[in-house]
Amino acid sequence: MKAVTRRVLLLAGSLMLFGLASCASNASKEELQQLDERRAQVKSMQNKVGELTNEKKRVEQEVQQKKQKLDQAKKEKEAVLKRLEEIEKANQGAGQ
Amino acid sequence: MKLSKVCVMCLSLLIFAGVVSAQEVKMKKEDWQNEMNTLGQQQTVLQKQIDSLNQSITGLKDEGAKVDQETEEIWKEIYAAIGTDKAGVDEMKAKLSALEATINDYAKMSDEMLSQKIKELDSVKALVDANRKDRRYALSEIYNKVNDLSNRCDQLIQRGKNYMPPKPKHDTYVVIDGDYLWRISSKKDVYSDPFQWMKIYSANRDQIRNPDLIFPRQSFLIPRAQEANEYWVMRGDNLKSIAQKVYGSPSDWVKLYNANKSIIGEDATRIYPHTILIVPKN
Repeated sequence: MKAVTRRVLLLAGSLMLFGLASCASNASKEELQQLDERRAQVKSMQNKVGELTNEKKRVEQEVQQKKQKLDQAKKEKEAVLKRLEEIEKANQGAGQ
Repeated sequence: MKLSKVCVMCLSLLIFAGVVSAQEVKMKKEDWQNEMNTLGQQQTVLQKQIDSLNQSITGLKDEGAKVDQETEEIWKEIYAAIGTDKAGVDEMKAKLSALEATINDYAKMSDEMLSQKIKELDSVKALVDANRKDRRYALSEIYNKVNDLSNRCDQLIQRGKNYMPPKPKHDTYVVIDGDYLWRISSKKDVYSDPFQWMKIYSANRDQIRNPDLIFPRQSFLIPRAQEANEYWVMRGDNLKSIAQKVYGSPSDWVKLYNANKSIIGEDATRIYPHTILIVPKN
């Protein structure tokens, strides 16, 4: 009987030691929470990068359109100056 | 005995605790550390990207603002050159829009109406063309609009000028002393062909009972073009061939004959060229 009790005690002691050892090598609840928070931060930053990339494309297109308007304005100025000369000539011709 | 019971209970508790803890999410400390490090590196890279993107966007917006400013400057120069501002240009646009509305109204008119409105159209065109002396005409938008309206006026004037009133389908002729149908038909202002007297006879069958008997001052229709409900007989025609042409069936010749019995007479096989037959609807 005593032998059986000793064996049981020995087994129980070993199991307790094993349990303690395994608890010590795993991440704690706080640490796991910290990890989740960091994952969420990375996810949020990835989304932000996506949004900013789209915003950049939109602004690039906007700038492109503005440049086209500028080119048109330059061409318009040239055309206007040329036509003004013609109008002046025509008006002078009509005056004479 | 008691001690052994205590030991069995402790063992059971340990096994139970082990089972419960096995159901929770477990992560090795080493793996946790590795993932934390990887995520930290990703955060650093992402932050750099975010900073770079923000910088680019700010730069692009600045560039856009400069382009806007430059464009605005050029437009100021253009307006200065033509001696007006945006309000002045808008005023001219409104004037041209009113002229365009007038031209649109003319465009809806028939050619016949336009032929009577050529003078009005000339005045509208003069109003449009007067804008060519204005310095605002140098602006492309105004330039194109004025030229377009002027061209449209030209086209409308041309439509009016090209209008030809349709020829009347009938002329009239008043009989004078000594006339007979053969003679009337041979006159230059009638048919210049005596053989077409049948046209005059058949077109005036209500007035002429006997083709050899007409009276001065009788007014006859001189047919000039075939009406929709008529058939002008040609050489070689007979009632069956005409029925084939007008009804698509030679057997309908009876219908033609009945409608024109007064001009054909009793013999349905004898019809003369230039006779005008009435074609009843099928």
